[in-house]
Amino acid sequence: MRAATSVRYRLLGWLLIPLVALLLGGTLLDYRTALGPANAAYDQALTDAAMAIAGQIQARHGELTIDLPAAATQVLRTDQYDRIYFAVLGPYDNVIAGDKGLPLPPKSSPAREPTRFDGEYRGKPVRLVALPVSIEGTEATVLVGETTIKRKRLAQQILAGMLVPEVVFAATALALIWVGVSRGLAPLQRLRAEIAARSPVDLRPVPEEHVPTEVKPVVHAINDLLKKLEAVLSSQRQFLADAAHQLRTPLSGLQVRLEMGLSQSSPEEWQSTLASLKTTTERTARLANQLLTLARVEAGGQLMTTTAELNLRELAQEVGQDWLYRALGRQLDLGFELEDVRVSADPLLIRELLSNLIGNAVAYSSRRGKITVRCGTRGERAFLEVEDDGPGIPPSERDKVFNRFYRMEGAPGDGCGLGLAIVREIATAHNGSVEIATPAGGRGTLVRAWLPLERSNATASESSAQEIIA
Amino acid sequence: MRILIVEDDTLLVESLSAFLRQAGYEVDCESSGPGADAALSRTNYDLVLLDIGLPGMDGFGVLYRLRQREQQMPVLILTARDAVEDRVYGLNLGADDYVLKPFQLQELEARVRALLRRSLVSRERKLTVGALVLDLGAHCASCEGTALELTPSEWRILEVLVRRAGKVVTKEQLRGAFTSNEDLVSSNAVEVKISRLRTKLGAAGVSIRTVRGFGYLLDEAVESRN
Repeated sequence: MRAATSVRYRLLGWLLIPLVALLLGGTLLDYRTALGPANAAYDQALTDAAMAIAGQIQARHGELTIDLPAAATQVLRTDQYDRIYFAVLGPYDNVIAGDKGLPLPPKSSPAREPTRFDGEYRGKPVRLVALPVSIEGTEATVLVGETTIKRKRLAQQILAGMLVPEVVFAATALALIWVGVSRGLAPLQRLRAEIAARSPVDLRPVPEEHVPTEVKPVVHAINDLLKKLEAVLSSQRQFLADAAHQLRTPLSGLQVRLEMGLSQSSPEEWQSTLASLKTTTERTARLANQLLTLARVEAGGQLMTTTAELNLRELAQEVGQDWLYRALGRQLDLGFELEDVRVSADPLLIRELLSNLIGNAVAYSSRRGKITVRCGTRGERAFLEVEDDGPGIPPSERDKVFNRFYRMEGAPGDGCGLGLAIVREIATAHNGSVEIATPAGGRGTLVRAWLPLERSNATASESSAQEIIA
Repeated sequence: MRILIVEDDTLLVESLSAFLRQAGYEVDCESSGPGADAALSRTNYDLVLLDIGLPGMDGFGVLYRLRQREQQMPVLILTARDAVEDRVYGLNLGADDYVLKPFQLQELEARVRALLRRSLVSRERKLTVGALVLDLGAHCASCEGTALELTPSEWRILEVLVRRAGKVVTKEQLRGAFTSNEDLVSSNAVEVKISRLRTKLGAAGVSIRTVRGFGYLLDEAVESRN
C-alpha cells in the first residue's frame, strides 16, 4: 500500500529499475565485446599451429605422409593451462597422424578456409580449428583443438574486472537518487508538518509562496476548501446564536406565564393563561421543527446524499393532503393546478419546501381565501409555486423576507420568520432559486421555487427544441 | 374501543390518556418496551399508539414482536425522530401510520379515528363517518337508521369516498368505480353523481368537498369539528 502511494517510492522505483536494467544490459554488452577478440586471438593461435602442421605434410605416389619430429610435437602440445590435440586426416577423414577420434567440422564448412568450431573430446569441451589443405592434388584436413580452461579463466577475469566497478557505480547512483529524491520532496514534508501542526479551528489559508509549482494547485484547492469551511462554520455560529435567542424567548415567556397562572385563583384567569400557553407552546414547537429543518438543510445541502427522482405532481398532492384539514378548517379554498414534472431532488426537503409555502399561504390568508398550488415546467426549469389572495408582500420587503428570523412589520399570524429562509436554503441546495411575485389577479402573494429539471426531461425538451429549429 | 398507549413521557401519557378517555375510548398505558410487549400478548387491542424511544426494548422491537405473533391490530407510531429511514423502517415493520412529535391533539384524533375505522371495517364489514353508516355486506348506506336510496354507481362512489374518508380521492380513481356497461364516463358524469350524492347525504353530518384540480374529499361536516 505504502509503496503504491508514496511519491518517494514511486520516484525511486521509476529511477532505479530502469537504471539497474541499463547497467545490467551495458555490462553484458561490454563483456561480450571484450570476450570476442580474446577468443579470436586464441583461435588464431590454433589456426597458426594447424598451418605449421600442414606445412609438414607431403605426398608420395598419392600417399600422404607427415614428418613431425618428437621435439616439434612436444612444442606443439605445450600449453600452461590446456591440453592440445591435433590430427591429420586423409581424403576420407582417415587419421594419418595425431590423436584419433577428434570431432569433425560441420559438413557445411567452406572448402578452403579454416573452420572454427566447438566440440567434445574425452568428455571435455574443446575448441577446434579444421584447416583443409590440398597436397599435390590430394585432399587433407588438419585438425587442431584445445580444452577451454584458459578461455574460461579469461572470461571470468573479464567479468570480475567489469562487475566490481559496475556495482560501485550502481550503489553510488542509488545513494545519489535517494538523496536527490529526499531533497526534492523536502518542501512536501514541510507542508505536511505545517498542516499537521494546525489546530482544528485554525482555518487560515496555507501560505503558497514557498510551495513547489507542482503542489501549488493542491494547496490552492486546500485553501479554497478552508475558505468554504470557514464560511460554513461562521454561518453555523451565527445560526446557533440566533437559534439560542429564538428558543429561549418563547420558553421564558412560557415560564413567566406559568408562574403567573400558579398565583392566579379564578377559573377565568386560568382559562386565559392556558390559552396563551397553548399558543406559545405550539409556536415553540413549530420553531424547533423549523430550526431543525434549517440545520438539516445546511448540513445536508452541500452533500445532497438522498437525491431521488420524483414527480412534483405526486409530491404536491401528498403535501396538499396534509394541509387540507387545516385549510378546510379555516374555510380556505385550497386548489391545485399540477402537471407531471420530474426532478431529481431530496424528497424530504422538497416536501418541506412546499409545506412551508402552503403553510405561509394558509397562515396569511384571510378567511374564505383562495390558495392555489401549481407545478410545471418553463424552458429548462421546473417550478413549484403557491399563490394566495392574502395581503401580499410589498416589493420593498421581498428580498428581506428570505432572511432568517425576519418578520414583516404588522404581519398577522405567529410565524417565527424561518419559513421562507428554509425555502430559499432548500432551493439553493438543489441549484434552484426562489422569487416572490404578485399574482395575475393583482392581489396576494405568489412564491415560486425554480428547480433544475431531471436530466431525461431536459434532453427531451432540448431535442424537441432542436426539431422546432430544424 | 380499547387503545394501548406505549409512551415513557409521563406528561404526554397523562394528557393523551385523559383526552382519549374523554373521547369515549378505553385506554391502557405502558411505559416500557417489555411491559408493552407483555400487555399486547395478553390483550387484543383495537389500536396501539407506540413511541419509538422506550426503555428496555424500543418501539421497533415491540412492533416486530407484535407482527411476529401475527396480531393484526393497527399501530400508530409516535416519534420525535424524523429521519426518512426511520419512517420507512417502521412502516416496513408493519406500522400503519406515523405522527411526528410535537403533534396537535386534533390531528392525532383524526388519525386514530381513521385507523379505528379501518379495523372496524375488517371486523364488522361496516364503514362509519359521522352519522353515515355503510354496510359493505348488504351494500346499503344508512343515516341514523334511515336507509339512503342510492343507484349502484352512487353506492360505489360513496364507498370509495368513505373508505378514504378525510383523504382526497381523484376523479380518475372515482371513474374506476364505474363499470364498463354504464354510459361513457366523462369527467362531467362524476360531477353529476357527486352533486346528487351531496343532496342525498344532506342530513348525514358528512360533506363531500371539491378540492380544486385534485379531486373530492369526504369528511364529517366542518361545523362539527371546528
